[in-house]
Amino acid sequence: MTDTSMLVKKLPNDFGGTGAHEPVPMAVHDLLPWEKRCHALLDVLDFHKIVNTEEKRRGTEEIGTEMAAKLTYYEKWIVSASNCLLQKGILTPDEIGRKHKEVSLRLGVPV
Amino acid sequence: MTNPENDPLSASHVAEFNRHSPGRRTLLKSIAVGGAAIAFAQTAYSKASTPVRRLLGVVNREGRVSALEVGDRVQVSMRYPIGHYRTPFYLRGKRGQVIRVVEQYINPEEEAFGRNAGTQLWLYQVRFKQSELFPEAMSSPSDYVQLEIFENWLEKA
Amino acid sequence: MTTEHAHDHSAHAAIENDELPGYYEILEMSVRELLIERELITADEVRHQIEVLDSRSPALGSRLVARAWIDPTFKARLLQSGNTAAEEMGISIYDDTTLTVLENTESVHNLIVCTLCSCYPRPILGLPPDWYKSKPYRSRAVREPRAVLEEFGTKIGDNVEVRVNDSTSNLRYLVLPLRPSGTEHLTEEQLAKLVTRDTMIGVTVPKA
Repeated sequence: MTDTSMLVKKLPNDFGGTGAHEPVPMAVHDLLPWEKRCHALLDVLDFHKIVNTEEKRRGTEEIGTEMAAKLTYYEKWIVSASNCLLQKGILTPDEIGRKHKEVSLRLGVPV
Repeated sequence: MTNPENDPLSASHVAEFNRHSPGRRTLLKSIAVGGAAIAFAQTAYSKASTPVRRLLGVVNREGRVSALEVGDRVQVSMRYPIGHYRTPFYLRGKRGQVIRVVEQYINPEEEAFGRNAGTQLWLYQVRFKQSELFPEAMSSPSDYVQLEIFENWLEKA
Repeated sequence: MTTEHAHDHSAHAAIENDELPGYYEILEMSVRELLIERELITADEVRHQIEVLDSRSPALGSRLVARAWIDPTFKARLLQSGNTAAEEMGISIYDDTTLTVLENTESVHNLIVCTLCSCYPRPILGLPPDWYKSKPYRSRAVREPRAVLEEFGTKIGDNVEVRVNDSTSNLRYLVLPLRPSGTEHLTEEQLAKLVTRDTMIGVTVPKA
C-alpha cells in the first residue's frame, strides 16, 4: 500500500529545499488587468477581515497538489477567496454560479 | 468547593490582594525609589525586541513573558499537523539559535481559520547554519538561513 | 437590480484584452459584484486599492536606500524601524506588515526569499517579479543560494556570509545594499539610480 501521507503532511506550496538544479525562469509578465483587480480585491477583503491574508494562503494550499501546480498565481487567489467566502457562509455556491452566468452573458462569453 | 480565601476570583480575596499584597507593596516601593523606569519601561506593551521582564510580585497574563531568550539554542519540533503551517518542512527537527525575540502575534495557524484574536504567540528570529539544514548540498560553511518561527514550534535544545 | 457602476470598469477592461475573459476573470468580477451588492465592500475601495498598488514601485525603495547611504541618522532609524522611516519619507505601509531592513556589510550579504508563498515588501517595491514567486527560486534560494546568485551574475566571496532570509511571518525584508566605492561625489538622486529592485532583494549588487 503506497504511503500517501506525504501529500497531506507537506503542503503543496512548501518548496523550500526541494527542486534541485532547475534554473530560475527569468521571463516576466506584467499583471493582466483582472489580476490587478484580483490583488486589490484581496487586499480590501483583508483590510476588512472578511477574508484575511492567512485564510487566503490556507485556501491556496487546500486546493491540493494538482490545482496548486496547474492554476496560475492569481487563479489560485480568486479560487481561495471564493472558497473562504463559501466556508464562512458569506456567499453560497448557487449565488456564485448564477452571478458567474449573468456576468458571462453580459460579456458575450458562451456559457 | 474552593476555599474563598484561596480562590483568586472570590470578592474577599481580591480585596485582600489589593490592600496588602506583597506584589503591590513592591511595585509601589519601586516607584517611590525611582524604580519607575524599570517597572514601566518593561511593560507588557513594549514592542519589538524588548520582551517582558519579570518583576517580583507583578502577575502577567498567561504567556505574556517569553519562554525563550536571545542566545537560546533551540530545536524545531518534529510534528506533522494537518491543515496549515508556516514552519517549513526543511526546518523540522533542525537546531538553531534564537537571535531576536520579535513580538507577539496572532497564531497564523488559528488566523488561517478566521480566528483573528485570542491566540497570541511569541515570534522568534532563529539562525540556522546552512550546512546543518542541507548536509547533502554543497553548502558554504560561511552561510546561514534566518527566519521567524512561532514559539509553538520551538523547543529548548 | 445589478449595480451598473460596479461592472462598467470591468466590462471595458475585458473588451480591451482582445480576448473573451476566462473562467477565473469572470469569477473575480462575480465575487466582487456580489460583495458590493451585500455592501460588505465598495467599488471605490477596490478602485482606490488599485491606485495604491500602481503607485508602488522599486523607485520608492531606491529613495530609502539612497537616503540611508547619505544620512547615517536616517540609516539608523531605517534599521531600527522600517515602517517609521518609510512613513517619514511619505511612504505609508498600507498592510499590517513590519518592514525590516537588512544591512549588507563587508562580511554579510543578505538574500530574501519566501519559500512558502510570495511575501515581499510590496508597499516599498511594488509587486514582485515572476521569478521571485517561481518554484525554482523558492526551492533553491534557501538550499543553494550561491548557485542562484550566479544565475543572476552575482558572485559573493567565500569569506562573506550569504544570509538567506526566508519570510515566513509578518516581517517584510528589504536589503540595504553596500554603497559601491567611487560614489562619494554622487548626489542622493544619482545614488538612487544605482539601486535597482534586484539589489534590494539581494540577487545582485549595485554597480557604480
